[in-house]
Amino acid sequence: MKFVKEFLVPTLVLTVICVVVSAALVFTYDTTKPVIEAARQREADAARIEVLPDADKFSLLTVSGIDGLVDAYQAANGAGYVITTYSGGYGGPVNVMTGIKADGTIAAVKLMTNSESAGIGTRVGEPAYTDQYKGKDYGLDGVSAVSGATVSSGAFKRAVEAAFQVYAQVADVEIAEPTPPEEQIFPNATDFVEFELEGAKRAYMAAGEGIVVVMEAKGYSGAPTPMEVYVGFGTDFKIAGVALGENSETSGLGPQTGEPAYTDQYKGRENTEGITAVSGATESSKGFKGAVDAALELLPAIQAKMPEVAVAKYAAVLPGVTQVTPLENENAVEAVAAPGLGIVAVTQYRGYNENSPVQVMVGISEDGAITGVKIVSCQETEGIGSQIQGDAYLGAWTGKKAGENAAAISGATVSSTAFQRCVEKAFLVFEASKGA
Amino acid sequence: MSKLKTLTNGIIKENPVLVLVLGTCPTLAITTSVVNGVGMGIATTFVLLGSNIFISLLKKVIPDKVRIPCYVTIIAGFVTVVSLLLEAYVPALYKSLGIYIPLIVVNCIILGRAEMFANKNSVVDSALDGIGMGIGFTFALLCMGTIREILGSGTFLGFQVLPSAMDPILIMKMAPGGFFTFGLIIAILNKVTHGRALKKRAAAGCAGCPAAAACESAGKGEC
Repeated sequence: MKFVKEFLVPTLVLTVICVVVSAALVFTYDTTKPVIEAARQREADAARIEVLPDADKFSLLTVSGIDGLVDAYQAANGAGYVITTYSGGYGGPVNVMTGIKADGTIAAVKLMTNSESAGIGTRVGEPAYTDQYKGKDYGLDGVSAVSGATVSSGAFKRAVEAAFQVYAQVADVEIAEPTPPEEQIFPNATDFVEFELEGAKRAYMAAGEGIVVVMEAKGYSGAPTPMEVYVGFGTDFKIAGVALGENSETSGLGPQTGEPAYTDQYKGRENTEGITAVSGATESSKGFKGAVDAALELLPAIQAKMPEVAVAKYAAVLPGVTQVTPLENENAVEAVAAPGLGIVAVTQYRGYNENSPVQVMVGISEDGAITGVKIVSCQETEGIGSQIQGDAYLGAWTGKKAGENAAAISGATVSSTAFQRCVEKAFLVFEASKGA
Repeated sequence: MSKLKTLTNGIIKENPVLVLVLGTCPTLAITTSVVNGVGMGIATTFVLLGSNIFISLLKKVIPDKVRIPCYVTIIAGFVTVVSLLLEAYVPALYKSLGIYIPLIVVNCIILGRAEMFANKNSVVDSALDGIGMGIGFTFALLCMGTIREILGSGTFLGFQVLPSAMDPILIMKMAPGGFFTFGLIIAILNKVTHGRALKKRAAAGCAGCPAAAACESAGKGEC
């Protein structure tokens, strides 16, 4: 009986107590579970209603393929969307909750979890900064950074931009990218090749159009970062256009220097005499004008570079090309020979779309290997034939010689074949140029 | 011992925090505001009452060998129930008490009362002891919370009491402030009771010390 008293009874008692306590826990858990879940839901909804006040309840949306997405919710009453996104800040990811109304403008934004420096980076969570976003659309025009917290401000803004990408996907609306400054200057150019230019922050060759230099200028003295001014020179060495790039000028005042009313004054000029400043933004205007003056001082270097502009578009498929001579060939829409480097031919072939052929630019080196290919025009079926525009497919062509082909895209054989024919035609041009 | 005495015993004379110096960790950690302190006190009181009653009920059933695991199971069960109820019905308090709710399980006051009182006394006495100890604990947390909230945030129960032009003493909300207040209150209590509470502990001597078994100087009266 000692066994029973010493071992069995204690074990049994402990087991029974454990079972009874577990049963009590199961009961409590089951009773409180719906209440707890409802409370959590309410709390989460309350946070979302803060950024989208017209909403009542929310349902989770499934979104994929967008970097920095945490979650996206749709308001049950159609008030809009609440999207939480993040972007890398100073101390780690900065999570931002954005409420986007049904009309595509921001209801409110809110700083969520972040590891920014307390009192510095975290100021992007204060109304002084977040209120700027209210009513803005995807362009986020005139949102200026918190002075001293530019990195955190940048992360915050990028997170909101990502939220708009999500919005575009879930609401199925097109969001036009804002036109980059260099494209504002040369709207017809398709290629902007960056190059080094002493004295300029950046410089681009707009193939066939001209040169854009990016200058940095000190704008309004209170602005935390300098302003970027884009100055475009046409092939006639006159100012083709100017545009305002990144800046943190006072919202509504300084950025007016980027508007046509001001920038159009510069068009076709060789100097900056008599340019009228934007009223109320004299400091920004002064900085802008100074930047254009500085760009004009770089004119000799720009003039030296200008001959390359005409051939810059070929550089994408035949690196290093500086001088070309035209080639006549029936197989090509356009063809040029670059002495010592090879040829570039633009050829076309009908693909799946009967109305618009596939047009391809092919670069072939002296020894007959492809240096690069580029689609000039492709109106094939979206998502199927259009896959030939993908980098993976185009990249596979590099190094191929006459008669060799990159693997066709499964499901898009007609478009792939059209591409192959284009390349074959380019090799015909190449052979002809050798024979000549 | 009269019933009233059992009840009031825990409030001043054997106050678990200020005299027995048990449960110091939650005392220091959560008393940054009055609400937190009182919430923690009430939650602990409930667990203390429940566990005292059950352990007293089961004192005949539970074999001596497995009493500690049994106590721990019962206490842990009560704590989980309290935690679930708080989360369901007082989510704001649940959030601010945070990690300290699960830690009630290891609060020595509860296991201490189970071991020292509930397993030797009747159900009614144990319940009264639980309530008394709970009130004592809550009272101590209330004192701590009041001092720390007024000095550290300038508010009492969230209402501004100090002129807002005066900068609150932030350190009072942090760990050092907790120790300052704790020491201060114990000192005041000993002054008021003319050290009676303290003497009572000394008289209990090494026999009352939980470390007696492992202590080299056990019985010599010098810790």
